[in-house]
Amino acid sequence: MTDTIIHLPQTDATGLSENWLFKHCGEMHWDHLCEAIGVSGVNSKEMRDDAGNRLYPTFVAIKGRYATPLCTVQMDQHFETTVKLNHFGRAFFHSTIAFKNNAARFDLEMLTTFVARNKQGLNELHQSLPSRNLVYNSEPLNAPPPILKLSRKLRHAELLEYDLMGHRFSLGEHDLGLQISFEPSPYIDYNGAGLLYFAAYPTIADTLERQLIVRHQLAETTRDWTVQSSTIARDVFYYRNLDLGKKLVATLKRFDRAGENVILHTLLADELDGMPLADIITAKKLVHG
Amino acid sequence: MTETEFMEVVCEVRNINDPSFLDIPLEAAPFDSLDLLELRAALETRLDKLLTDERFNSASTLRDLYLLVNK
Repeated sequence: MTDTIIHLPQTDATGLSENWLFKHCGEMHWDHLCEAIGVSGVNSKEMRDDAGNRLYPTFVAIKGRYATPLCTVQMDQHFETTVKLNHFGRAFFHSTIAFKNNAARFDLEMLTTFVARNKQGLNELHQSLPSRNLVYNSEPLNAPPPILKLSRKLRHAELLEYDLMGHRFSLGEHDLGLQISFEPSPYIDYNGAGLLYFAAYPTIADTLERQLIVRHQLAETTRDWTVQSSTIARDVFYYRNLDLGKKLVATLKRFDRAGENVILHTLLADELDGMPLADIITAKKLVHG
Repeated sequence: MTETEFMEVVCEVRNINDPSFLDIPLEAAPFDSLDLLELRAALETRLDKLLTDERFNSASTLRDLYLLVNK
């Protein structure tokens, strides 16, 4: 269990920073994974495949469910983090992480695998596995976690409808198709391995959705969208990375009012070849001013 | 592991239960790299053994994988 006190680095203009929360829980996931496979850390020399290639941890999918909106978190609150980690085969690690106190609770489900670079300096990656000599001491899953099946169906466009917290919507029909181009920042969106960081994907989606919402007047214009709404659920499905200096295109496919919530679905794609980078599906609770 | 048992696991991953897919190139089957990882994990789980042969990464058909599983 890890204790955290909320100070300015853990917050943004909306309350608890989801970007920070992803980074924090991601690090917890990797710390537990490294312990489970008996390596000293993600940068350790043992984190290589049998061919000697440096392995990078990579996210397949993340689900966040926030019992309290992110905006309810106050400065100086204390939180504890608990982690449960399992593996499926040698390739997949699945964790359920709770970041909670008596007043608030944020649950994240994370699914990861491993990749190696095809060519030094570029972000074309291929799946690979830790050395066969490493013995996993986490509890194995006897079936694929549902989030892996969901990721597969989305990748292969085999899912007609999506269900986010009971709100069902079609993945193919009534697509808004609102687009905006963006170059992720080398200073905040990329990590030390030169990869577009997993925690940046939802933040980029939030940033570009806000711009599209203003441009197309999808919400009231008297208050900023960031204070009109607060995230309560987030599903991110990661498909590929983006080379430094390249641009992406965000397509806002859905902006559905569902009672007191708004459901958003955004696809991030490489601007150059149109290949999908991630599907990001979000529920935001409307906050009355 | 019999071909039938192998195809049962394949079917769980890609909903393909036709044995003729055993000899079709994996790209045409179609499997992406994550599907192959999931298939390998599902086979490891079903067989309760690690599939560590490096040739798993260079298999071009499902039959290649099937033969490696039974090696």
